[in-house]
Amino acid sequence: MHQLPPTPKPLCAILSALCLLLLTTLPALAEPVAAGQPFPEISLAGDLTQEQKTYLGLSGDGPWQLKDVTAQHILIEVFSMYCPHCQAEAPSINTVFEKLAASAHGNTLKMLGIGAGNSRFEVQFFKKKYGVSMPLFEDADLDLHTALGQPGTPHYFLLTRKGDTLMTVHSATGRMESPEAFLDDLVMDAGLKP
Amino acid sequence: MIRYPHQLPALLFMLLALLMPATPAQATVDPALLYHSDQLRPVNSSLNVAVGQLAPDFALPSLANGTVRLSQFRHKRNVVISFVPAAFTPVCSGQWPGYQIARDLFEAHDAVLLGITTDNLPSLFAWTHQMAPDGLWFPVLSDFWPHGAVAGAFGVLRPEGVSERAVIIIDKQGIIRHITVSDINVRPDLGDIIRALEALP
Repeated sequence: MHQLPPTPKPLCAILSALCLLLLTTLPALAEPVAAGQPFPEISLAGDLTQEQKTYLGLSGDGPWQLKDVTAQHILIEVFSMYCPHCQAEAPSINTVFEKLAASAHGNTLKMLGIGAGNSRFEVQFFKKKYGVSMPLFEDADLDLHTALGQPGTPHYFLLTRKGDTLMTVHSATGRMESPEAFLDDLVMDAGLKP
Repeated sequence: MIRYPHQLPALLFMLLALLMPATPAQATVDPALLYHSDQLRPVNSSLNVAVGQLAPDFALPSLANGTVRLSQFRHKRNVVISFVPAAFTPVCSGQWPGYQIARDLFEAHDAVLLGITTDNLPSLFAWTHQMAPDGLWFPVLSDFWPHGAVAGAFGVLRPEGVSERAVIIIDKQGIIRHITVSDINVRPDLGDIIRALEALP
């Protein structure tokens, strides 16, 4: 009978440990909604100004449905008040918001933020701290964060409306290189004219 | 099944590659250095203090300025104590960076924030300087030795030797005015802390 060579014991131990680690981290392996996938139908709640509601085409005090946002394309930033990367990114996202709103695509491509794990107080504090004009929504219990596949922060989703469905056309975690480059990529990914 | 030892390095590499996406990019604390544990029992201690009581005094070594004594703030400042379980763990590493940008909220209520863990000073130094290169604005205190003595005095020391995730607010007279012992797996709401400060007599 053919004998297989024995597996070296130290390697066996390492392999077993890695397998165990893999098994114990499986819940954390959720993947953010990826480009090409339909975006989940989510409900949004937040303390918006009238100007922000008008910008998104929403009325009343919410909660609202994401699909009711009046735009062909929607950029969502998943952020957290507690995330230093998001804190550092805030001035850049403000610049993107201002430049986009002032551009020819301001009514076609709209932006909003979701504060992962952030209460209304925390979202409003972040808004005030960094002078954020982009509409921000709360997600205190991480329900939206879970529905979106537990992305790291900041994470950017670009959505395009196709019929009754919002399709994900871009999905990435991490800070932008610059507001200008980010905006250029955004316009290109949305299929808009530069 | 592994049939030949020469396959193992490739297999190990594949397993490591699979593990890498599990680390969220949520803080400046290097995600690769965060220790992930299983879901812990939400609360595993019994309070030794209550709202309305005089807070037990303590003196602990601080990262910045020698020793900090609770009673040094008596008749001067309100005190918010943030006990967090451990350095280099995911929820804790995403809690104090929020307080780092909220200094004005605490100071608007004439409050000083004291961050306490049962880690030793070198660990706290490495951890907090990853959160903020120049360190945090508030005193970070080590309750390492005698191990967890202060957490134990307040009744927020867990059997595994780490503190609960707890917020205790003490007024200028040294009286405890607010206690929240949160689920250790969940970050407390900053809004609750500020509302408790607003409610101080």
